[in-house]
Amino acid sequence: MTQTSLFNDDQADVFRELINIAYGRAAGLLHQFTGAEIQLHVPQVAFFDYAGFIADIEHNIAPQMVLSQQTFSGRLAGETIMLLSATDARALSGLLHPLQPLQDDQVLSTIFEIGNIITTSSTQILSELSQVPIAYTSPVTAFYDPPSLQTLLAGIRYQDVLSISTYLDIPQHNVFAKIYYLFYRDALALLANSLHT
Amino acid sequence: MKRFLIADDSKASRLMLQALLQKHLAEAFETQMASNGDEAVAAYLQYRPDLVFLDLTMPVKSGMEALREIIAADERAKVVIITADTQKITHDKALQAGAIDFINKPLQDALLKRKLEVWL
Repeated sequence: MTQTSLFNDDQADVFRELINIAYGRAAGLLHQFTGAEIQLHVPQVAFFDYAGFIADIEHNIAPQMVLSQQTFSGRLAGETIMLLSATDARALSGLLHPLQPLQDDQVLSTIFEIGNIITTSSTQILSELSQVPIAYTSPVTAFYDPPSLQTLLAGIRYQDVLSISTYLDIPQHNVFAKIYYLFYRDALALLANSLHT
Repeated sequence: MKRFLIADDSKASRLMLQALLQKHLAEAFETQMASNGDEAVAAYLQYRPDLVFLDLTMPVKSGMEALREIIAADERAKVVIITADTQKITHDKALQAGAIDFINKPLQDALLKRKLEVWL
């Protein structure tokens, strides 16, 4: 992880608060859909180079993972990555489909939808605050074991990226996922000026 | 002179709220700032403000814990929750714990102006 002079403490504070607001919007929607109480955490802000980002992802690797990745574009370009263990993915999916055990493809389609809700609802508020439109690609969601996750990560070549991470934490249902909001360098100034009176 | 406590881990949000108070209140006022729940409780006990603006997602001690401690110390404390958390269950818990109101971030200028007339 590399913290550079690209932003100062006050700007990091603004980035943190923006994602707090953005993710708070997503948490409200997820609460409506699942009925589960989501515990919000103070987001973590870091500026990663490629190696730093991979190291942070690897810190969260379980024997079997689900990763959902969604790209957004425009002047506020970036992507969201939701990373959780397969066990947590099944528990999270079960909140939306409580009556039957889910097959793997149903788990993936549910995580796909949840990832899409998190990305779109949270970045819409960023779009409003920064007054720029955001376009989305469809999420890519799959199971990964550590070798296949390594292969996936090897294909990602961030030069450097602003990472603001938080957690999808539902203690009552033992669901814990890490969520990364990644913004490319060009989005920094736009984000930094998004909170003002 | 009215006294306010603004408790939020975000400096930008604290300053934004202070600026909006200056914009909407004709009379002079004093503000005390806190950046986590622990500081909020300590500042309340020392400063006894007329109104507390309390964020919920804060380090060290959450706003909800701070709210409960403030109300336990002074059941007449006027605490307004200002939070990014849009969950209804959080809203209900905060009001049950003794908050007088609950509004979501980002702060809306017109809403704050209307609410200030009610709270004060």
